[in-house]
Order: sequence, then C-alpha cells, then structure tokens
Amino acid sequence: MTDFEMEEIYESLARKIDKFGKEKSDIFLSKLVLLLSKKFTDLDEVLNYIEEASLDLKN
Amino acid sequence: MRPLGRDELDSLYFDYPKYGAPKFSKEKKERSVDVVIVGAGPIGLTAALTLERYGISSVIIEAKSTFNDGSRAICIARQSFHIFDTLDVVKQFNAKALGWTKGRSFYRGKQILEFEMPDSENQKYRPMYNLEQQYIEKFLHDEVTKKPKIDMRWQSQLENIDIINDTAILQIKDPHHSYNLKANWVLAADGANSTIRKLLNLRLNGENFEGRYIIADVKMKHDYPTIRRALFDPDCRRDGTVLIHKQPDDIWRIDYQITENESVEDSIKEETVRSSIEAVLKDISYSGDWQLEWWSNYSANTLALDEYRHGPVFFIGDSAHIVPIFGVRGLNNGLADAQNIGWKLAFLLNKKANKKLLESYNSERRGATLDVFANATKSTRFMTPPTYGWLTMRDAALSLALRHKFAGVLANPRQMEPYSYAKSSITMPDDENFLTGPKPGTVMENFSFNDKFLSDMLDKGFNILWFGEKPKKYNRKDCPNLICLDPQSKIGELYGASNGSSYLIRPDMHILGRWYKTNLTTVLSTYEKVLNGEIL
Repeated sequence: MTDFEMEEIYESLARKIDKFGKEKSDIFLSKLVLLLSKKFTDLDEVLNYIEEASLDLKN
Repeated sequence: MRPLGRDELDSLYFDYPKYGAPKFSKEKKERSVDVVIVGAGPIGLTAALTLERYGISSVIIEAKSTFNDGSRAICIARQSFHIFDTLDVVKQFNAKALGWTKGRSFYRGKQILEFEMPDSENQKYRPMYNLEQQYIEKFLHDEVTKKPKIDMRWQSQLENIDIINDTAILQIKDPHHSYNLKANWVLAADGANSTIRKLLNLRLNGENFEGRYIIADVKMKHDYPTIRRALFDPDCRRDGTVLIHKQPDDIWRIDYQITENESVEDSIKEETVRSSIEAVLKDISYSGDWQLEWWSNYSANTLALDEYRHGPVFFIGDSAHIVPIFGVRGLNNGLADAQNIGWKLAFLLNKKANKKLLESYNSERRGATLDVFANATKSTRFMTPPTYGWLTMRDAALSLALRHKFAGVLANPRQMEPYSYAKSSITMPDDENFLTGPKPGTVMENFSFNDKFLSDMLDKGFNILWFGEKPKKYNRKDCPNLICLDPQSKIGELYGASNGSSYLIRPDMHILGRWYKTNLTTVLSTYEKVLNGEIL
C-alpha cells in the first residue's frame, strides 16, 4: 500500500465515522474488522493485530 | 498584540524606523505612471524590485509609516530565496535567517516522526528558512531605497479607485495632499484586508475552518536546533496541537490551538497567553527566563478571489488568497505571485511581449492557490480535526505511530514544493522521448559546478539550457541567454539529456518546454510564439 493509498483509506474512514456519528461508529468499525478478518487464514495473526491495536490507548 | 505597557511597535528585538510622507509637490505626485503598487509588505516590495530589474519604474503607495507591527510570516522557502537572489538581496537574508531541513512530531510527549525535507549539494539554498517578517520587509525596503526608479510613498492612503477605459485613477491622500494618480497597471499588494478589493466590490470565496490558533513570539535563551516541532495532544494542551519554530535574535514562535472548551475572547488575553506559554515551555523542559514579544489569534481559512485580475488591476499575495499557515505558503506564494506578474508586465512594457502573456497570470497563480488549498485542507484536518470522524482517525494514526512508522507518515506536513505550471497555456507539452529529468512546468533542477551553481548562470530573461556543442552562430539580441552544457556529464544525466537536447527556462526558473533532439530554431520559434501571444 502506498502512502497515498493509505491516506485515501484514512479519509474515507473519517467521512464514514462522521456519517454515522459517535453512536454507530463503534459498530461500523467492528463490522469492518470482521470483514477484513475474513481475508486472513491464520487466527493468531488476527488476534495479534487486535492486541497491537489495543496498545497505547490509556491516557 | 503587545504586553500591557508596551505600544504596538515596542519590540524586544526590532527597532522600527518611521518614514514620512513624500514631501514633493502635488503636481509631481500626480504624474501618471505605468505601474502603481499598493502596499509595501514583502509582496509589494518584491514586485517593485522585480519590475526594476527589467528597467520598469513604479510608485509604491503604503498607508502605514513603518513595517508590520508583528512578525506573522516567518518561513521562507527555497524558491523564495531564489527570488531574493535575483533581486540582489539574498546576502542579507542568508546572513540573518536560520535555515532548516528537519521537523519532529510528538504525540503525548513521545516522538513519532522525524522528517527531512529534500536537500543536496546541488541546492544553493536550504529547503526552508526562518526569519521575522520585519526583517524580510526591511531587507527588501533597504534595496528599494537604492533604486531611483522606485518611488516609495509612505503614509499614503488609497481613498478610491476608478477604472476608465482600462486605465486606473487612484485617489490618494497623504498628510500634505489629496491627489489623483493615473496608472496603466495596478498591483494590489495590500494584504488580507485589501482596500482595493473592497473598493472594487470583490469578495474572497472559500471555506472558513473552525481551527482556532494563538500565534505568539517569545524571547528566551532556549537551546534547541532549528527544527520545527509539532506537539500533538501534549500534557500542556490536551486535545490541542502546538507548533514551535526557532527564529533569529532568540525569538521563538509558538503557535497553539485553542481547544473546544476555551473561548477566543479569553484565550487572547495577556494573562491567558502567558499561562498557556508557561505550560508549553514546561512541556519542552525549558525553565529559564522568557519575555513575551507579541501575539495574535488566527484561524485556518482557505479563501481566494475567483479572478486575480480585474481590468488593469492584478491582485498579488494575501489580497488575492488567504491560506492556512500549515503549508507555509502564504508569504511564499505571494512572493511567487509578485515575481510572476513582475516579469510578464516588464516584458510587455519593454515591448518584448504581447498583452496576451498577462492572461497566464491568473491561471498559473490561481492554480497555485487551489493546489495549496487541497494540501492545506489535508494538513489542517490533521492539525485541527474539524469533526468527530477526523478526530477519531487522527488520534488512531497518532496512537499507531508510536510503534508503526507507516502511521507517522500520515502526520507528515505537506512539503512546500513550488507549484508546477504543467497545465498553463504557455507551457509546452512534454517531449515523450525524455525518460528522466524535470518536466515542463516544474522549477528547473539546480546543479553545483565547482565554483558556482547553474542558477548563478541564468540571465534575467529567458534561458536555454543547450546540451551539446556550442552553436557557431547565435544572435544574443532579443534571444534567450544560451547556456551550453555537456550531455555526457552529471548535469546531462540529471536532465535526462542527449546530444541536441534543450530546455527553455522562464525568468522565474520554471521550465517552459523541453526537446529531446532539436535545433535552436525550434526553441527560438516557441519562445517567440509565447511572447507574441500565439500560444495561449
């Protein structure tokens, strides 16, 4: 993925989150993760990404 | 604004001169001229010096009696240094300004990104310099005072403008006289609150962003190199962004975002500014003394005129466009405006070009503004996310960037590359036989020879970079300056040239066209067609 394409993903997600607002964006993002998980064949790989994303979230 | 007890020109590092109104007679003031420039900021002064370079006289009208009250624009890009180079003032800038190549971004105190701007030994100037705006104006003005062809009139207020049969009649008032000045051309360099724009009933169109900032200059002995720092969500300003720049004379620029639960009215108060700065300084571990120099508030707007030309009036700089600070394109684009209209108008007035050449000013420079808008909108969304969606994604990227490089790239401020005139009506289509080298419309590549740079060999008019043997006969008069280069050398490689390749370079260093294998007749005929307005 190029930097430019990464930016497109960033922008398209920002617009969608705005479209559904605070209440529904959790569900939207969770659906997206489930859909993307279907691309993987290795369960551990997905679980590792889930761990990775949960880092650095505390204030 | 200045701290309580100091007036608006009471600076900690700059002594403001005071300039009087012109003392000569009303009759002399009313002599009609080719070009009147309204506004003696960096853009107006640059326009006057550019015209003077080609022997064109001008009158500058400025309402104030001295330079800008605060610093405002401080970042000068490489291409602007090249403009100053052509105006013979770059020496003063080089001696005073602080060059820089590096930026660092932090998220909650941890560094997530260090970026380098493109630089090499082939570059005569660094990608960026920091210098307070008063010095920018002073260095340009010092040069203006040496030029008999530039009539600088301070304390001269524009009261009205009438356009009759393509001629402008400006009504001007100074402490001694009220008078009319007739001009064939007017360059409106009178800034964001342009008087000419209002008098002509023209409006800036575009977007006003919510992002609100305080910009403040502080004097302190802080030991840190000239590296631009961006602090996202720091301890001192939760949910906000802070930018820090080093300037000469121990002056530091601190820009910080006014967060959602703060009001502009309160944030602009001296005591609030002081406590906010104190918190920033604590965050960057500075505990020494500091003095507050000046501050102002700011919001990131993208506004521009639909047309930069109105009859004989050309809008240049902030009078034509207001851009967010994040791309550092306000001052730099204004300087490029001044140079662009400067050489075109000079070619016309020197009878070397057709009026039609001026038509390219609007498309080229308005195009540059729209390009800034596209990039600045992205930077602004990252710096001051306007909605919940942009904020969520921004914070996700910053949080990931602590451990993943790819996410840090999303925080990279858009590089300040000069705009390409590829789509301009006077730029030739590319010759597809070139595999590499700079494309038509872009700024030519500079190159370092042992004792000088390619840019030092340029004549003030057009130039031809000719790769191959020196032609036996070449008539210089009214032809571009010919620079002969070896196609088999490093510079030939840089330009992707073969024997018989050539590049036609405009006076502003942009490439008008290039030919992989050609003869001089082809290049010269393109040159003539462009100036005669046959290619538009």
